[in-house]
Amino acid sequence: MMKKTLAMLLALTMTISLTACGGGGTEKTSEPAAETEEASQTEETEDSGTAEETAAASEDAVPENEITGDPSAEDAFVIWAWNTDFVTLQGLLTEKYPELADRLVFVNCGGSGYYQDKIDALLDDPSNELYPDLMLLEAGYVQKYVRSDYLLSLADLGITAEDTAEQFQYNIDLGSDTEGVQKASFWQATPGCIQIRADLAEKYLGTTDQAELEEMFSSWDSILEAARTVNEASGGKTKLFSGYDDLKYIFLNGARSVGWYDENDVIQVDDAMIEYMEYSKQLYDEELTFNTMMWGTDWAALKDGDGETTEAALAYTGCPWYTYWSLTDTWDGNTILVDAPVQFYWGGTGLAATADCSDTDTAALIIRTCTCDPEFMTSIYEANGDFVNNQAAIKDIIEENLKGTSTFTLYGDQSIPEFFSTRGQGVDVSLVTAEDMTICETLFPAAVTAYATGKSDLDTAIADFKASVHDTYSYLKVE
Amino acid sequence: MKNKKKPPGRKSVSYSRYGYLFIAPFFIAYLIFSLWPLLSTFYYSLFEYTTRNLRTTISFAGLKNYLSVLGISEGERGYFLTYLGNTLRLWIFNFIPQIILSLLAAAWLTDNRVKLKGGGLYKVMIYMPNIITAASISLLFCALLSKYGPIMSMLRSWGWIGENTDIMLSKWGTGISISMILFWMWYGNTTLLLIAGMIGINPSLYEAADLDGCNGRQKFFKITLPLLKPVLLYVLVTSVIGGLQLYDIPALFNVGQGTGYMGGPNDTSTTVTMYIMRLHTTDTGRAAAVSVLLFLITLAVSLLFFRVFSGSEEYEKAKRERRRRRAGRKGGGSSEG
Repeated sequence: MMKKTLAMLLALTMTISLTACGGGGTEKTSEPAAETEEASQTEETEDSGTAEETAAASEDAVPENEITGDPSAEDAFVIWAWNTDFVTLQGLLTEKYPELADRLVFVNCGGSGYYQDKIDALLDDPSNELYPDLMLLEAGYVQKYVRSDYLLSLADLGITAEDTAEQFQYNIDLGSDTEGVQKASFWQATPGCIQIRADLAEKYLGTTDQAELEEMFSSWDSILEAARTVNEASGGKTKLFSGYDDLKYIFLNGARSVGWYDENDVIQVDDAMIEYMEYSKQLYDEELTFNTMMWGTDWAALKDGDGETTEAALAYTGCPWYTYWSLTDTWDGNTILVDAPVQFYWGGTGLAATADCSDTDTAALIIRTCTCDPEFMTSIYEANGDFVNNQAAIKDIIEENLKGTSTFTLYGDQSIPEFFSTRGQGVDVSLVTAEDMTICETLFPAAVTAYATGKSDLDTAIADFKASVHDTYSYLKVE
Repeated sequence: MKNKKKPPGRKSVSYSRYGYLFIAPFFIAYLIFSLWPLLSTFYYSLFEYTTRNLRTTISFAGLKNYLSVLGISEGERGYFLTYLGNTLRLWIFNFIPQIILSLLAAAWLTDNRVKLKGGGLYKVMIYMPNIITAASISLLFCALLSKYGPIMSMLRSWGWIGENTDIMLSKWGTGISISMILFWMWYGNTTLLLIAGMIGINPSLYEAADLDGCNGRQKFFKITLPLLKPVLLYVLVTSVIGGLQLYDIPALFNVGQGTGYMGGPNDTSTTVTMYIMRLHTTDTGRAAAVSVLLFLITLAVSLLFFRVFSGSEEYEKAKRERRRRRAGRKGGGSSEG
């Protein structure tokens, strides 16, 4: 008996150590086990509560692909995505073109964090039955694919500039390569804003008037003033923002004038980013935020505090998908949208046909319908509330006062489509690089935190940041 | 054991080949899934892979990748050494309390005099944390220990910690938390191993000690501990190997948004394997070099411990015994048993 127990135990530990040793010698294991679903800061995150649950459930292993349709069929047309957003569009598509119904194969890779690894391996293998004919691309890494040789341009598909004329310019630019050839076409537009909780604004800023709030958020100085006011008035129980991290997309996607590296691949830090670091430090030193990081537990919880007995944040950085999907019930009928000091965008999903697409006509049909057809795009809005990337459709939606299925409303008589219809103009996205997602979401925030919390001085933080960028992308050089 | 060499002309049924058949699956799987990747990693580590916009260029680089990750070549930082330091720090603060508590628990659970009730239940319970997926545990603790999470809120309301205490912003706060999670997860496993080792000690030694009037402490230090040495070394070796490859807990605990490639705050909870994961998509060569370095260190540590192990009296005795047996067999077979 004793021996048996011992043998069992040893066998067990051996198995454990075997699995544990697996990673040591092999760098080939491509399991991005750590990439939390929270990673995906775009629309697949309905609210961060569910994001965490999914993360917890699936982190230990790379999730299986969920495939609907028959990929082995002769005329299968494979579409790849990291969530189920496209399912709504696919439903509308097959309603309009019933002949597509049996052909479309939809692959959901199971999470944004796994998408790139899974699809990169497939792109080299056009004979695979799951080779994507059409793929979805997130703003954070769209440039990586657009600049590769794996996508067809819209022109190859017969989609002209006339077709895309109603798209928002920054979305066209985001989907275009360095030569200006558009390869990815977005069905969503994602202009940014700041969203304010009306009840807390009333209590601590003394107003719910949009124009007055707009004034308070018109410059970084006035925002600092507002942050101090809120902090004092609430005794620290309510802060203007949950964390300085919340402001990063405003600076990253709106205030920058140069990209992360110049034409010689030398890493550079835009003055606006230094300004952001300084601003973060000021917010930290004066304890004007709760110092949370986006998509974290605290960050999510602070949406629902009452601001008196439990901590709450008064404002969050937002955009259309965030406003109607990620805000909690506390914010329903209780949200005021105002502009940030600069125009910016946040997220977005594009469609692109792959180089070895089996049926370019169908690819063209789908892209044209989903991203260029105002009538169809209006129906997308009605089906899931997407702020669509088509100015004509948005105009219709506003004029006819169409309501989507979403019951989420803003405070007073503000309307989501109307507010966003004029936003996001003039944003320069030509500085977005293929490496932006990792730099903007992992490497740079680390530098900001190091500086803001006083762990490093500015020069050290920037030197550390540049070193980490160079270390991750060895072709980018430090000076 | 029978002699393997059979006198010519004499027929007998050899059963040993069935034995080989039974162990073959392991070796085949090992060769394909462990040894081959291991060797190819060495090979990859000598090349410079640059993947940019999905276009990969490969060129022979010699030892450049190694010099780069060790910070020896100019303009490069020795991230490997920093992360190795992080990894060892996280491991050591988990191992010390773990081994102390495990020894204590194992001694109590096996002591015939203490005769704990519900020992079986306790054994099951301490093993429980190990059954839960590490990823879930990590996320759970991340939520519990976050600045406004239940634990920190409670401590704050009791006035035990300051208004702005946030372990996620503190190097030691984060480090010790990760170590404690590991400790909590693994001490059950270690305890069970030690119990197994202690059960194997001849009870007559304790009886003799009792007759001689030893107290519990003397019995523990003079009998249990010395005889437990092989098991202790086994625990140490497996723990250090696991520790060097520490990944899941730190990769999910205090990592900002996005990826598990950078452990906060300020990169102080990034482990070597997290570094490998960060590099593997963009720079296979250097990821391979880091893997090889990690492998070499693991190997060196393991060999060192086996050396210590072989220096022990027990081992020497066993070796002498084996030699004598082998000499008796006149060089028949090379199996070490």
